[in-house]
Amino acid sequence: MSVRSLYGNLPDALTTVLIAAFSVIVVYNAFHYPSVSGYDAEEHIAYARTLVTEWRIPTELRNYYTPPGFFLLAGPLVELGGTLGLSDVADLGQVLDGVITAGTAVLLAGLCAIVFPGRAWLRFGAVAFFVCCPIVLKTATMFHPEPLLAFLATLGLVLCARMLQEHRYSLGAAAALGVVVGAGQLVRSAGIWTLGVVCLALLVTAIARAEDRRVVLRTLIVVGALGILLPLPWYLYLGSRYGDPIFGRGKTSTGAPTTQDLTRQLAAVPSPAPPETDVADPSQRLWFYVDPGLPNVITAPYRGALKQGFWPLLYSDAWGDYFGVWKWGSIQKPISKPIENRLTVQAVAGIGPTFLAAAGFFALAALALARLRSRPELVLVPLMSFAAVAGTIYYAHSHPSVDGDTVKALFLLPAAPTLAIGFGFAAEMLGRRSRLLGAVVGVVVAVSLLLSLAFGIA
Amino acid sequence: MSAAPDPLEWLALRIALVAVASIVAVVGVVWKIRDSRLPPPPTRLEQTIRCLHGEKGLDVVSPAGDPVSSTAGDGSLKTKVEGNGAVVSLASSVEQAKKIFRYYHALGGDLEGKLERRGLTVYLWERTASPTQRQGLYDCEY
Repeated sequence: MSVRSLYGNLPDALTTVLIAAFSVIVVYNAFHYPSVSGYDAEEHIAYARTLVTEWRIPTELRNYYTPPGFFLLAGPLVELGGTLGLSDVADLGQVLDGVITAGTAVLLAGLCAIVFPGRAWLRFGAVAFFVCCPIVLKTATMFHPEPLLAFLATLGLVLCARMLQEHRYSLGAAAALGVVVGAGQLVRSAGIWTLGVVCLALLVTAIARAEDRRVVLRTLIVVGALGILLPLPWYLYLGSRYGDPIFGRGKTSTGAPTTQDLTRQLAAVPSPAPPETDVADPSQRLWFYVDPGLPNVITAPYRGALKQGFWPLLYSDAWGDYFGVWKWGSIQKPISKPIENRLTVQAVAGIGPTFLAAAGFFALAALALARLRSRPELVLVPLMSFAAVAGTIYYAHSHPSVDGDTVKALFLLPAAPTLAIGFGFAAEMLGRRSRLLGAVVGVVVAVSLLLSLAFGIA
Repeated sequence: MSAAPDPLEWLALRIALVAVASIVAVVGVVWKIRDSRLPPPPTRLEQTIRCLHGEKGLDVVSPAGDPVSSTAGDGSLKTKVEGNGAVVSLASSVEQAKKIFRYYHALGGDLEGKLERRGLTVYLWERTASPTQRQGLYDCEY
């Protein structure tokens, strides 16, 4: 084998190694990370058990408004864990999330191959960003429905991108896409964003490509109809019972706080800054969405020390452990100087990759607009990222929470693959322009991502 | 062999890199301006007075005529808890707190139950303080 062909195969080999390493880590994590530590884990495990043992939606739980899709898959695994005598019966449910997320990484590689064919280093960069980002590793380890939503969202993007790129608008392909985006809404209501993204991309294609207009519009109708009809019974159930088809009882908080909530609140470190009491909820102020959170977003990026701000909170949760569910907290250990230092390292490590992902997002948005006719599949990538961020802002504003609980990087998980493509695109383009620049950027982001991968080991 | 990129890609990325860097810079400048206009955080003395007076409803005055407490770097105050007067000296370092404690001891003779140092704070009570009187001041320790 020549050096040239070896170099040519290197990125794909590295991508395979990364996905394999990620799979090993998440399975290891599943058996070492306590299942009840994850975001709202107690409720999710209770939901899954109630669903499969009593065959009813547990309306008494705080997550009663979550569709049952994930719990139908995870519930039997929890019961199996009990039958097998596992010390943590939800371990197999965590393994399920790990396997699903590894599947999302494979789909991401596939999406890159469709949107950027023949760009193996771009693909490698995107997969590296995805598998090393702590929010992906954390949620792949937990017992939570979001990884399944991310998987179905990415599958939907792959099916749609292939359809648009290959001009293959068969009824079967449209039906498959409609079922996938409909199923996503039966896992988390945020799946409706994927339906919107896919439908908008089809509509834009119909406008840009006159020659395909009829078949694209037919596809749009099939996808839209299936995407709405499939989750409709669930929406009708929530709407008729609680008056809100998405969030059940809507903005009012219901149910008593769990033991985990109370212990987390008690464990929270008192803020060094005086609380701002002019407005009860920070998410109702404009500054909340502009505040960079300096300097604590770097020096003390955790709940209690870092004042609430939309971007600092998302950033700290994505690259570190803002809420105290991973390296510190009531179930792990109290915050200490070494942990604070490690969180600071993570906050610094996230700067480079985040900067490149943001630049990649804007560049791809501009490129997609300029190439709507020739490369309509490209529009899916920035659109999905935009929809996830817009959805998170909407949720933060419409569902205020005094402790920032409605702003979590978890909500960006369905867009993690498209943000990763933005990163891969930016990193690969810099490498193409200058070997020196590529080497410097490569070393910096490689160190950042390896540190993050290590942080993601439970 | 890697496929050649669209010629527009590099242009789009360059503009995006500049745009993101500009956004970061603008947000940083706005934050710096806003931060400089915010009132400085309350001092230890202000926090202590706010707690004793605002939350516990105690009268707080300056310990005029106490040369020892006036050497406390972070300030000092005089208050009365359950009828027992106390001078609270807020030292700016442990060494300074130890020094204030030593001076009081040297000047006041037997101060058993009346003089106490906790970290950076030195308490001098008029009479031997009860546990609830002590706790009243501990609650406002910063």
